[in-house]
Amino acid sequence: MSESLEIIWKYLPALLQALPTTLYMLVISVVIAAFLGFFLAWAKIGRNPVTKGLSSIFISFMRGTPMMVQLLLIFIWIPVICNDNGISTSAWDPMIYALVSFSLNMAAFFAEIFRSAYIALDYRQIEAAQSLGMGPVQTFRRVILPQGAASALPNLTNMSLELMKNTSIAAVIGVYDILGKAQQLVKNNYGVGQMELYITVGVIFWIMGLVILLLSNLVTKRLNKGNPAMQTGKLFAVKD
Amino acid sequence: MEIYTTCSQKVLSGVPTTLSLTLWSVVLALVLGILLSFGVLSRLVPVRVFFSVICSFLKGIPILIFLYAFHTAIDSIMGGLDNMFGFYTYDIRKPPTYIFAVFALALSYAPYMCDMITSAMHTIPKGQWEACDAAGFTGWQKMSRIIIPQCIVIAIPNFGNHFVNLLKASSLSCMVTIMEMMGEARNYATMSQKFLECYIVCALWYWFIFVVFEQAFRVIEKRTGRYLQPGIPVLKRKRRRFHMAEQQRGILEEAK
Repeated sequence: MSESLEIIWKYLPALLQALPTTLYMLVISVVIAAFLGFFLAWAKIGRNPVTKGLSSIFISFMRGTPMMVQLLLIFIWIPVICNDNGISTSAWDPMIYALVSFSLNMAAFFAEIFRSAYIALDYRQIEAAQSLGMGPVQTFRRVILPQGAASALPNLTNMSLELMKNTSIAAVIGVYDILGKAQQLVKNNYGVGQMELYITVGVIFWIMGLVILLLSNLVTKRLNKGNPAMQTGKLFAVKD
Repeated sequence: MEIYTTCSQKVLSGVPTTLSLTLWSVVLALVLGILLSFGVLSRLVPVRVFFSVICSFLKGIPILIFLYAFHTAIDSIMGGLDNMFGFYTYDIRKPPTYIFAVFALALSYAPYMCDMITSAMHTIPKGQWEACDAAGFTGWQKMSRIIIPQCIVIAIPNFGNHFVNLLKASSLSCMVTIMEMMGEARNYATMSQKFLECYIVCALWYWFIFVVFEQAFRVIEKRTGRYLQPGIPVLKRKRRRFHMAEQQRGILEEAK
């Protein structure tokens, strides 16, 4: 028991050094994905059949294939395309491919969430806003966004937590986050203390997830201030 | 073009492994989820808190950690069992990686199944539980006749989602040397040095299987959920129209 604690204490700094990699990937991909997902959802809700079909196919593909396949596909494909067009990719960080892949994957899921939040909105409110003479931008900002954000945020958090867990797959293309670091340490030590390292990594992931969940629930509570039906006191609860 | 057909053959040879891995781990996850949901729905507060924390912990861990941890624990677990029961048949050169991958996937999806079950339980109105008690049903009768048939219908869309997610997550088990679709594709890619073609073929087959399962679950959902939608008429519903009339006639005759 004391040996295990010693191993954990010895390697905890090395593991925590890799923590920024995970958070960096998570934050950047979520931001890009929210941006892309907004446009994808717009295309899917809208009436233009071409953009609608394209976004539907994109969303279906991203939801239907495992993240690892997408990661490897982008890791192989982008250099091929770039080198054909005369751009050298030899100096690029593998992180770029991981970011592209994760943000494209998340964009599809976010688009679905945004669309469901839009559908859940009462259509008469939009009609009322239009009858009051609001333009499309004004309608979006004052009517759709405040209510849609409150209903979409718990789902967005769930998907972000999924992404946080899935960033460890990026070890396949050479981006080492906490789990990748632990794997390296295990390989270096010829497998001594591997169970302890894995459990430590699991606990770190768990705590990170709980913190994100707490923040999101606080923000959701603030957004639902005017809606007494949605008030809950559970700050660590996952909402469906 | 030739590379696509050969790669397709290689990938398709991994399909049975992927499907059986998914199926077994879904079944095991469902069993574990039911066990967890007993704990989460318990009346005792300490038990409930304990199982909620366990659920949250299992949910917060990446699947890769489960796979790696179970993979490394194979030798100690199997060797320990071997020594304990005195079989001495465990061959260290052929570890049962498949079974342990099934356990890892099942354990990582058990909390989701538990959530699915508890949320389905909460959708059933309280009046039905009370009505069952008022009608004098025993606990088992109440669950098997009233609650569970409704829960299954409510839980099916969620279950389909988790099944498809698990199908995708099973691709991770190629990291612990199991040759399913992804493993075959990676293997053939490194062998033939045609990475792009292999991964494209693999992605397309995964997409195809995903769409098939998604549509199948949509059909099942529609079929089982038609009683939930009030406007749609139920076709060919068997009604016992003369049931009451016959009983009444019997009573009348007795009275005479």
